[in-house]
Amino acid sequence: MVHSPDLQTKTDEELAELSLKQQEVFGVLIQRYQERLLRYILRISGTKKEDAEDILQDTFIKVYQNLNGFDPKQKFSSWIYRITRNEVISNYRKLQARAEGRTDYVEESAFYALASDLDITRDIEMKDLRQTICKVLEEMDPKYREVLVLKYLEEKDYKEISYILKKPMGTVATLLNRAKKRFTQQATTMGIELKYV
Amino acid sequence: MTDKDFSKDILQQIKEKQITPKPKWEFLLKDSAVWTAGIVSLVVGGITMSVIIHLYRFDDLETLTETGGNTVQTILILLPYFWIAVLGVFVLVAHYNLKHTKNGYKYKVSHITIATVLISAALGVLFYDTGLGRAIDHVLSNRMPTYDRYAHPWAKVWSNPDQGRIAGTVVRVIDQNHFELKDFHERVWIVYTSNTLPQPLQRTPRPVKVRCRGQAVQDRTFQAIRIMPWIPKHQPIMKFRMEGEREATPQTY
Repeated sequence: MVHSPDLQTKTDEELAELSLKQQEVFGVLIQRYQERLLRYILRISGTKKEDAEDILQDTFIKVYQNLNGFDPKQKFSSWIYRITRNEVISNYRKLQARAEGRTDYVEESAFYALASDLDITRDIEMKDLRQTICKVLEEMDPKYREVLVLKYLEEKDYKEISYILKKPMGTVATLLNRAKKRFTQQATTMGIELKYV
Repeated sequence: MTDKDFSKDILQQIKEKQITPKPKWEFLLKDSAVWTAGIVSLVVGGITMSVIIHLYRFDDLETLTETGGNTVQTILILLPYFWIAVLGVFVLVAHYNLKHTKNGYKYKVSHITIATVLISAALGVLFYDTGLGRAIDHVLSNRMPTYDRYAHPWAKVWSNPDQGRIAGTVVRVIDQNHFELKDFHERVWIVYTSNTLPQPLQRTPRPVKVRCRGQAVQDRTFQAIRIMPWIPKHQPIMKFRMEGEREATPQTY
């Protein structure tokens, strides 16, 4: 394992380039992304942690195998998210069968971002807010949940979401608007009363 | 979230299974293949479009509408459905490939569809003007026995002796006024005309396909008023019309 402090200062793109020559450098990229990607897998699939970890391992192997296919015009983080998403999709059936329906791997700031964009009041206790948002997200159609997760929980911009989902930016904007509406509808259906600002 | 460090396990796995990054040329090849397939589909779509233009520039439309049926009906009958279906397939293939290029995801499905149709149409006009549409129609008509009957939109219109229209292959010239014609349903007709048969028919260097206007007088006998080539001469769209040059008129021998 390479622990050179020099490597820690390098960008993802530089590390990807170096990994092609020196296998161990890839370990630094794994360390950088393992937390984020594991959370992302859990958020979009709602599967068990053990299954998510298996997917994560397969994802990193795929990333390594496809390093030469990385387009330096894109952000490395968008590229790795795209591969992760593809891996989740190709394991979708297996994951669905073992899903636990958990999306609560979320930081406070992310909840506030989503709540604020949906004009949900912040008067609710953080714990309640988190539970409310999680419950609603878990019950949502995966295609809407996914876009909300990318925008608010993974904090990706439109361009990145467009690349990850392989959809035009206009479509992403439409999808996001619909997802927000569906979020409120879903909450109402579930009998959850959201207080709007 | 997780205390586990995956890097050790994954690097171990990479070493044990001797996993290596795929070579760069594999990705370049894949990209080139997608682009090539997309461009080839567009070109083939353009060629198909040139045949459609050739078939739909049928200059005998006026005569056909005189024979009964309304114009809309005639236009619908004359639509080259087979070729439109072929065009549809190639537009879909082109669309699929362009969508799967590196930046294809950035464009809306509707935009890519419109672009592929427009490019095919533009190429179609260019190819048509070189005479390619007519040439393909001609080759298929001569080489594929069932092409006219099943894929040629005019065949249905010109296989109607009761309305004074027959078409098919001249199999034998009997004399200056008579010849035998095998229609697209393999029926042999004796066709006669009060005028002397045109020279190209009399010489019949190879089986010639014609269409005849006239009337069926008895079983398998047809009196022709006008005999025309099955596939009319090529008339370019973009040809400059010289001052005083006349509009194209229905062609006869």
